[in-house]
Amino acid sequence: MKKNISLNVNGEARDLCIPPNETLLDTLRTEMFLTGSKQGCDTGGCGCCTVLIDGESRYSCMTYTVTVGERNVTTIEGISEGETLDKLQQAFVDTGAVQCGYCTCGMIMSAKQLLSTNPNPSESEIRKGLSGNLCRCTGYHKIVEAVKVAAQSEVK
Amino acid sequence: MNKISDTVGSRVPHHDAIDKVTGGRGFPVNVNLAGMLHGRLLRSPYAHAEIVSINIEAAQSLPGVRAILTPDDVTQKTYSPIYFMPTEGLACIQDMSLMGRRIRHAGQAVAAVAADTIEIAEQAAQLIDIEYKELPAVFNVDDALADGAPAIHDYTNNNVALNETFETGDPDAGFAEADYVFEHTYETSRINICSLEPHVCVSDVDPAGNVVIHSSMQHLYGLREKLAFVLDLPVSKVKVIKPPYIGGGFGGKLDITPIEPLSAILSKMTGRPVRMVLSRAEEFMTSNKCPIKVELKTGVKADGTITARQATSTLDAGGYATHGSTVIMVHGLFGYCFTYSCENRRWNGRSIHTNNVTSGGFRGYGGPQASFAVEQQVDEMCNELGLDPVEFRIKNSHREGEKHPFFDGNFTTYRFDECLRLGAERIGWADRKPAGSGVGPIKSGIGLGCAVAWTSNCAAQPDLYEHSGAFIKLNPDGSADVCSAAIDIGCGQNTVFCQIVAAELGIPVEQVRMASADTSNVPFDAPMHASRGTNAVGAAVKAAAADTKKQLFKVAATMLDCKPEDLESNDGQVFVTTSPENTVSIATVAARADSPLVTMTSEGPQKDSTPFRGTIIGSSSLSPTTSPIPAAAMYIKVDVNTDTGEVKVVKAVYAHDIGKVINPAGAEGQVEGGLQQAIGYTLMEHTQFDSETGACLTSDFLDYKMATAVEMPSEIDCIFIESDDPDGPFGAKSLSECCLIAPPGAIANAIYNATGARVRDLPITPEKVLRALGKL
Amino acid sequence: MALTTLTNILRPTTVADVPRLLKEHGDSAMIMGGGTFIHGLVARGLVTGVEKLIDLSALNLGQLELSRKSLYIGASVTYAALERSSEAYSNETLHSLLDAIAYPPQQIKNAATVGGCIAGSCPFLDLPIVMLALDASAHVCGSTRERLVPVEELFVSLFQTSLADDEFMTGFTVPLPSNSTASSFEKLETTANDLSIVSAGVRLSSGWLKAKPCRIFIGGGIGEVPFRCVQAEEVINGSKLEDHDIDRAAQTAADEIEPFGDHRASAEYRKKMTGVLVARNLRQARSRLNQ
Repeated sequence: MKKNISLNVNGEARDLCIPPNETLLDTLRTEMFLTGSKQGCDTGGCGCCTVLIDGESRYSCMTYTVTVGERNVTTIEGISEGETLDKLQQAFVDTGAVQCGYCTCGMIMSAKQLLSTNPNPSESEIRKGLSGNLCRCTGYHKIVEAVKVAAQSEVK
Repeated sequence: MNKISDTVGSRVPHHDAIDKVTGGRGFPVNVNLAGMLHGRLLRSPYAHAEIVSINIEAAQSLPGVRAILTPDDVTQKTYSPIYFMPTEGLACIQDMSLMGRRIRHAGQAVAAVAADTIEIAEQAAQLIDIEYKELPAVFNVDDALADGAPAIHDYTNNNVALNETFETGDPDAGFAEADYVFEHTYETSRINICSLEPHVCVSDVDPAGNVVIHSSMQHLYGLREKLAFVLDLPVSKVKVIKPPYIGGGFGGKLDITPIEPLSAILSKMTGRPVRMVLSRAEEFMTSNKCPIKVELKTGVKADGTITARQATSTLDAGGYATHGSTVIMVHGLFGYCFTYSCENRRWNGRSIHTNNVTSGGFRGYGGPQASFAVEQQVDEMCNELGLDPVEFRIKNSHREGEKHPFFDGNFTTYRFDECLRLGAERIGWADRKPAGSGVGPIKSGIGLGCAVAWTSNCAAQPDLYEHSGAFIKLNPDGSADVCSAAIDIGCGQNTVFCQIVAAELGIPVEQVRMASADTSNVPFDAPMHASRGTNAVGAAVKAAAADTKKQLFKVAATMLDCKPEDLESNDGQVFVTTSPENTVSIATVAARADSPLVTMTSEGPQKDSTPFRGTIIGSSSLSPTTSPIPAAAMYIKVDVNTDTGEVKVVKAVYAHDIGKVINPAGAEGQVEGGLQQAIGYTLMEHTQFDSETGACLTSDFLDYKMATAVEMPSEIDCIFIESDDPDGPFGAKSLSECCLIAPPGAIANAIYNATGARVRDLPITPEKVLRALGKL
Repeated sequence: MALTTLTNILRPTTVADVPRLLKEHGDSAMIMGGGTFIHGLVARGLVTGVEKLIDLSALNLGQLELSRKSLYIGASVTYAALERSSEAYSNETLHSLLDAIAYPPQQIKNAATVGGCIAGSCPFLDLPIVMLALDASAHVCGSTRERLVPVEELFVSLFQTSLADDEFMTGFTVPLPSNSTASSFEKLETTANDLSIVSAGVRLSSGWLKAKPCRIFIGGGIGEVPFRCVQAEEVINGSKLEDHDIDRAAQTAADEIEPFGDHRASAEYRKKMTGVLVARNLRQARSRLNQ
């Protein structure tokens, strides 16, 4: 039984008609063509699907779109301003934290929540803050460095 | 001496990094064609069975179902699915078919459905009614080899798919000469590649009736060849589109799986594009590292000189001996022939069929399975004999200039001893305490493990593809397009190729781009595997750039009124070497060549005097004749909790004889990523199956444990030794596989140094540590 | 893959609606908290035939109220909300709550609710062990009655609670004893994002007149429901909480539990780790008592 909903994504409201069992990840990718959030598993285990809902990181593969309501969804497509990258995005580019890139968007969204609640995290807080995001390529090493760089550039 | 430029050796950000941090449009998983249907496989619940009957009526009548395929609808010819050798190759075993009535492992594909949505396809697949006749199954090599074991294939004796041996020198004399003979058995396990982008493909038919396919794969031409073979088409009727990059391969996307041919057939049947993607649970049944058991016997003199080595390896190939038949060869050769210098060697390797899932390829390809054994045994021998493990390795190391035991040619550059010494100094090897010393429940230790003599390409293996080619063209703005079939699988190959081309041509690296490509418009390239990207593809793009530069200088010479051999280029400019003020920009040269130019003079319009008219292009297609040999030493420090058995890697120092670092950030990334895989391989990853049914027990990331950022050490120190090899572009050898070959032995040896507990089978779980400590 | 039988997600606006919906839809309806647990069940094919999910988010069950005698936690309180709240930090008795909710990754903390976690009746999860150790009670609401059920009476078997078909939990009361009490929770996990292999939650009281006796519960892959180490508790209850008492209690706990083995860990290992974790948690709780 499809439902008519209004979904706020990256500051824009979209009217959609979707079935109740559709996940937010599927809605973002197939209805709204926002392919930055990705499917790496089906069970909230890898973090590639991470988005922010009212600023809180969530596995969009485990969230039914109809339950989002009026809350604001932020995806990777919504965090840069025109051509200017978000500080985290820039830091990932500059430190070499991107290899295959499949985990990258989810990592950045998780890091975004981390820095918004803890602007100057220690290394172990960064690692713990990213524990819900898997990466197979980088060993997380430059990803952690990128988050540190982004945190410091905020402080300036 | 190779010419070095500013771009080679610098931390150029990956060319696709901005795309990837803003969404990553280029992944094959994003390919979305108009009218696309979705396919799903039905998989056998039984590990060994015959299909008796199939009824697709209920499935067919589900609304939204567009086509169904069963084994009766597809070819039954057998083949080797592996991309890196020709289909008719001698060395590969060809015992797999696309979809047959005989089931040899749980999860084998038995039907495929194309439907409007993935949910409908899945529902329909579940409605297909198949009657199976179950056959007795075997799930380990001992049972498969036992008398009376069910024969999994008709062509084998006792399920031995392959049995290879080699012998050099006189091992028996070598053992007789030894003061000590050591014998140990080591066992490695199945782990999954866990590439975050799953296997995915989209097949379509173009207006000319050709099959067109997008796929997350490591070999453009391999997919074309294998797909054409399975579909019974000439290769010219199959076009494979090169993705800008893929979301990880690690050796697990080096073969054709059922989804590529099935999606192509379904696409032809329905007249629509068909997408098939594996779920994560299906991924765990696909692309697992070959588990190998090794009985290793080594003879040494009291001073540590190795006098003889003998190894017997048994590999569990699973239901089909695909990679199982090739991994064993790499394992045997690299593991026991090329490792520490010793003329008296004997090896016996067998790949055994079982009803486990088919074992696949994964970084190192048999190398880590050998190094886990060899490097631990070195440690065990040194502990027994009171020798230093670093000095032992140096004593038995190959020497630069020495002839390679198997490849044509020499160790042109070889700095293994430097790797060992520099790494030892950096980790504080001299301060290592005796094994198991230290008070309190948390014990620390340092261990050493190595990649002794790997390869930089497949030149030495005559039955494997090993050639690469590229086209380059210059644009009127001075930029260069590089057309190559080589796929960036995540290591940053695209960027390295651009750096090499930029350095060779003398243009800024931002001005070099990898062009989009497919099998109709680029030269053949061997797969992106065997750590060959930088060395082999790099050499090809460098040669294409050199060819382009010849053209460039020919044209520029006419503009600078000199001879082409008088010229040099750098930073986007061509200039006369002896008078650099005599210069013209590459953009101007390219523009001049590419467009008719008429200048207005007092006598009226005058045609440009440049005699050359045409795009400045270059090409290459070449094959390395030798492979330069890299080596590595990995030092690892662990803390072991002797109450729980938990092991934490707290520091790593990795020293690698790399030839030349093209991109330091990229090179470090390979070490850091390799360590994550090694920590998983050694301590926690294990694709497990039910010992009675073969069903997968670890089918999601809750049950299959891959290291998160928390499990990684914060100190990973890379030492790159630049030996400047004459057989690599700008001196470069290879790197990536060594990053998974060196660490497992190092971690196991570190655990021993910390606790006195020796564990010889993977994964070294906390439980095994406690057992080895006698606490369980 | 999606829960293909799902036809509707209902979002009742009053508490009384829920038992009515549960009664009306029977087995074809399930309550959803943050959806994390349900999603795991769906992915493993353990939830078939569910047509309706009941989303509690409109019911305002997100209160956290600390009084002198107890902490009330609404069923819809997320792990993240609990972590942010000062109420949870205020009393050493409640420390095990913070121990437990620190473990999951942030994405889970932001979604998972206390109610959902308890309703799942899964000993692999952490909060149930803590709620048991803290002797919490669940506020249960049904069509005709409301009752307070000790959490210890909730877990019948894996995924099965003792609630009637028309009952659901609206919140939990965690008692704060008047005398000095402290609690601790720790789990063994392979990585930082993992179900527990073995976990232990304990609560201790000090002084000769112990109003609330010691509680020791084990979770992880040890059985269908959490295990109470009754004999180990007796060792502590009769003791002065010295090191040798703790060691003896730990050994008693390891002796009395009979965990199962699976592909994650053997029964033997879990048995041994029970002892290790009980010792650690008793020591931790004891050091918190002295603060």
